[in-house]
Amino acid sequence: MTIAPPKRIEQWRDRQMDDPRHNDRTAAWLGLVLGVSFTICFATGLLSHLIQHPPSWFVWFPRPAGLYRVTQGVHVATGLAAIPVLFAKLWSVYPRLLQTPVVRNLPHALERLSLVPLVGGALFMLVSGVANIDLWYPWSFFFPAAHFWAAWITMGALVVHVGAKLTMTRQALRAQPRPLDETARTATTDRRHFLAWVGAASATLTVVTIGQTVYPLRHLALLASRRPDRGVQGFPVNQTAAEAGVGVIDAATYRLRVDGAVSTPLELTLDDLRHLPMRTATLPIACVEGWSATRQWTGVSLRDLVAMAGASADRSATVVSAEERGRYRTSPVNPDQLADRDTILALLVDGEPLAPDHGFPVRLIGPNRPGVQQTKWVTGVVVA
Amino acid sequence: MNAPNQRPGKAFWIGLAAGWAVMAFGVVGLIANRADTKPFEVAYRFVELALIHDAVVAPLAFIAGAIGTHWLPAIVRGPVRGALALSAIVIVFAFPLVQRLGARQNSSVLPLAYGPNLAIVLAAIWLAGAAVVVRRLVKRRQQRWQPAPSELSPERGV
Repeated sequence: MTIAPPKRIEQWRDRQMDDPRHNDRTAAWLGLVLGVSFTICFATGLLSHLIQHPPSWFVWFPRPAGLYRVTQGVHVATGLAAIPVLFAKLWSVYPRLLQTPVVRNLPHALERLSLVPLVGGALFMLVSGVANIDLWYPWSFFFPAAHFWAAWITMGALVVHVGAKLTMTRQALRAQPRPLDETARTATTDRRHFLAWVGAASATLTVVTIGQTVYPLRHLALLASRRPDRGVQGFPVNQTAAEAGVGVIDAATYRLRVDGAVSTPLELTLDDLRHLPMRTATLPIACVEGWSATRQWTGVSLRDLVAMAGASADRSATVVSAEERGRYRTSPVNPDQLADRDTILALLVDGEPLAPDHGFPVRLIGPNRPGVQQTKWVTGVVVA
Repeated sequence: MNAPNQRPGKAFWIGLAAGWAVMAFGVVGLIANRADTKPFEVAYRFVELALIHDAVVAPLAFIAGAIGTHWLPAIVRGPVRGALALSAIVIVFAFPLVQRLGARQNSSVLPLAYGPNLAIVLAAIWLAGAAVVVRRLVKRRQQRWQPAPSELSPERGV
């Protein structure tokens, strides 16, 4: 193609390309950081997806108890820290958008075409991710599904881009800076200052949000949508009892049913549950949106309950909520999780009965599980 | 595809094949789960965001950087540009929080005073920018007072 931009734009482009903040070395450094960040987000996001929708070959163990809190915290924190890096990278390479010829040959056309899903996808991932942690949904798609499949498209475009730029990136990163005459020194200083500001921007976004999961830094979390110490009973709620359509469950009429592959199906009142052997465990509740809070939970070990119903310990189970609808009204518990004594049907948190918004009268809490699987308002356990 | 006359190497072709295969997998997944993913809306958002960036955000950033700060003394220009860019990112990031766009009947969602908090963060950014300027000024002053190497030569009796 022979489309050329107007002369003045060409001159502007060439002037910008001489600026060290737009040269190959700067683009290579930013690209490297961005590539690593997106890969971390993709790996941790894929893991979260597998935990929530486990295929037959995937097993997620209950230990270490706080592993999901770390992987999902890293997912969100890395995504937020990548925001300034993405804008810096796009700004740095922007003059190249005006390079001519627009397309040189078929491989070049395919590479340039992949820039649309790369740029659009990268922006989509970060914008939709930020909106999701703010619980703001200005779209009609279901966020986890769209975010997950869009990630594959974005990562595919990233792979094309890495393949196309690998040699250039290697050369740019290995290149020794020219002998430091005054011009070269100024250029190096300019580039370093630019990269330092990008680093400062990433650090700023990290500092003002990371306290949503790192408790000692909670007072610095000035721009976090959640704080681990704010909410009913001193920690956050994702879905209230009113939002779930559950309201306040009547303790007098409450029943917990344990059935499925058991020899003695059970139907227990709240009083029955209170008289069973209690187990207390200190476990984090870790949300996919990146916040987490550690609390002391007391209740009946799910393993003991299933054993009471006459089922063997190597079973799996589905925990059922009183919610009438909703994607998370049931929660799978795999055999390893069921065998762990700290997988509890909790009645108390920090020694107090659960508030309705935290799942009164009974909620599931287990080690190393995403918050959405810690089902609230539990009314049934189906053993498989 | 590194230089105009450079022939694409092995990495280029491997990246092209693998990358387009991964993209195709993503598109198939998006379409197969269309009830949840709304593929046309996702595609529209991809293009919309890329266009907003390329046609609005990036040109504005260049104009703001060039016109908005060129009248400043050189020693101040870099830190002001840095603080401006950082402030812009923080303001955009905080916009849904300050506007409480995700607010609901849940005291644990958006539990903070985000307007004042944003002001604190912006103040810290500009303080940091001012600190960089002060450091530069001190450095320049020290350099001015340092004797030139010729003044340290033995011939001058030092």
